[in-house]
Amino acid sequence: MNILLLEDDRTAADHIRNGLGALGHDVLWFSDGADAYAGLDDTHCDLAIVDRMVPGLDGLSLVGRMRAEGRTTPVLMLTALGGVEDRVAGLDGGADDYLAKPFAFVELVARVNALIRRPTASADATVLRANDIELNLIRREATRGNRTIDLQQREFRLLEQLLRNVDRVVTKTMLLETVWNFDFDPRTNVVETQVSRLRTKLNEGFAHNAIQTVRGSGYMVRSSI
Amino acid sequence: MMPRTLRGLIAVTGLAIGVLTIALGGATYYFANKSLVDELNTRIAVESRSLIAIGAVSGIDGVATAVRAREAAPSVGNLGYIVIDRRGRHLAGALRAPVPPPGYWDCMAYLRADGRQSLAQSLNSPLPGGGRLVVAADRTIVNEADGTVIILFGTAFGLILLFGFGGAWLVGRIVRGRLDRMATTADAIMAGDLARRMPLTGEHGEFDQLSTVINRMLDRIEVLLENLRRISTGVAHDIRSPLSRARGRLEVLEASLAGLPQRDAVGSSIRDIDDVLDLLRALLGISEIEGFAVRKRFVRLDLGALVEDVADGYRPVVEAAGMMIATEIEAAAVLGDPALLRRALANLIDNAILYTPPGTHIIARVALRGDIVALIVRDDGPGVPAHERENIFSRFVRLDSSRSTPGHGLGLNLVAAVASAHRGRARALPTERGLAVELQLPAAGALMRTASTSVAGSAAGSV
Repeated sequence: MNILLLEDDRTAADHIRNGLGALGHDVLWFSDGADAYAGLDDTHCDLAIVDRMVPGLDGLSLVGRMRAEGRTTPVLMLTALGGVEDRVAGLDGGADDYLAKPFAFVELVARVNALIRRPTASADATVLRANDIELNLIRREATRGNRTIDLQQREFRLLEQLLRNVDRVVTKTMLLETVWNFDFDPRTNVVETQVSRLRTKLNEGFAHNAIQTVRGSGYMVRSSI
Repeated sequence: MMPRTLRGLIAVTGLAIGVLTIALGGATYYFANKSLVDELNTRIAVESRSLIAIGAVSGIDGVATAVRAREAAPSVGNLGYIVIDRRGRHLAGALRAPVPPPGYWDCMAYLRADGRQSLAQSLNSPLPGGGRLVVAADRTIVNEADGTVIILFGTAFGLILLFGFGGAWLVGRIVRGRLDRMATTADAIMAGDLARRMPLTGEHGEFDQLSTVINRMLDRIEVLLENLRRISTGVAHDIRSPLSRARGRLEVLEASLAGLPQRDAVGSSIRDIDDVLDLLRALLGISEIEGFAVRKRFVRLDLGALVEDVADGYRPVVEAAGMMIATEIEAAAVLGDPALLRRALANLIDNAILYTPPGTHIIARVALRGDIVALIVRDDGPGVPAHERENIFSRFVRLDSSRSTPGHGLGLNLVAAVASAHRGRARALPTERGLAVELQLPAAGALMRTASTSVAGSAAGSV
């Protein structure tokens, strides 16, 4: 995948470039917003990682211009401003996801993967599948094998998030944001306990663990055993 | 004793003016009345003496003759006479009245020539050789003067009272108006509008002087706060950047150490750095909330639905800890930031889970009380000692009993900051058992929603 990176802090940029490079992505790095804007025309990119505060054109304005021109390239916004305000401003400004610095690299990777997948895993799919698990979004019905699994609302939303990111790690933070509407990390194991409940319901009578815990990263549902 | 309120001052001033007017009126009445009465008494005394002198020379018949002569004179003035002999028989005098008691008498009723009742003051003196002489003067003039004085002072009293109270009321109103404007400004400043200043009228009066002094103080406070904010965010930022870079390098190092024993040490260093970064993030977050800029994003929201949702999201972790969570929801709307309210509520529930033993019941309540919406999180755990209740919302406060639990002591400080950003307040309610924290938020109109109560498990409907 081609990833455009706009980041003026060299250390941070190197860190991201090396990390994503090691995962097989081509990272095109810019440290100036205006240059990055010009770079959009020259190359095809599948994803833009944009720092909010950079010289030239700031990240928020860059995303604004991209959206005004009808570009649908997914944008992950990074910022050193971890404030409540900035997150909303970033998402309202057209970014698809938002990550406050400093972040664990696994968090960045998980979000990059989720964003790159987004166009293919069509958002308007009505049935999500992974291996023997099926989630019907219209009938609000979950089945594994040919057994119907009775899920509570939040368990359903949790499974939906995991299935939308089949074979990709979904981090705890991503789950907190999408399933709980929490833009913070609570001090108790809210996610862990909920995942473990869901897992128990899904695994009952099956040998294979439906939800894998990826140590230090998050959770994953695999499409095949 | 000085009255403490403007209303009291007005009442006391008005009353003082009234009392003074009454005293002045009373004195005027007394002296005017006395001088008139004295003058009449002098006249009847002189007249009596001259008639008694006649009596000493020509006896009682001489007196009677003299009286008849005076009464027959064309300008008789307003004196009346009665002459009686020693046996009480009437000898002369046209005064139609019973004989008054001896000496001066101030209220002798008599019939005037026109047949009307009137009052006179009289002197009843003995005549030489027996018999008595009564000389009386009509009091109408005194009564009229008295009446005039009473009317004059009554009117003056009324007017003075009116002007006194009216003036005092007006002054009070003006003063109150100015004070109210100052109070409104002070409220706005407290509510976060630090750029507001006390209004000046340009009259250079006492209020302008006071306002100027207060404004200088506010300028100073604003500068100090701005400095403090700049320093703390600067420091936080400057600490954060190198820590973030160090974290990044450690992460790379950790990945390269897979399978080696050093990896754990690197991992725990990363966690330590994360801890400091979390603290910085929490501090910066609270400063941001305290700056009230978050109000720009406020929307009208259903607090009950939000509380149900958060409580439901916590249910598994609460139950895993061997506790119960229930909600008691009254339909209520507030103007607020859902993300902040969720965070505050989550902090309260986290606290209840972390600082109470298994078996605890946690209740999240939304209650509408007039134009206040109360959000209460109550548990029946060990609670907080009464003398600590006020302190729990302060920054970095950790009660001795919670020292062993991880945390920075910022959770309830954030709750308080969220409450004041929402123009409300947070407090710990006095309880028999456990801790109850209440957020009072201004209600944002009524919600069309029926009240509901749910207990553990039943709120989260199956799908």
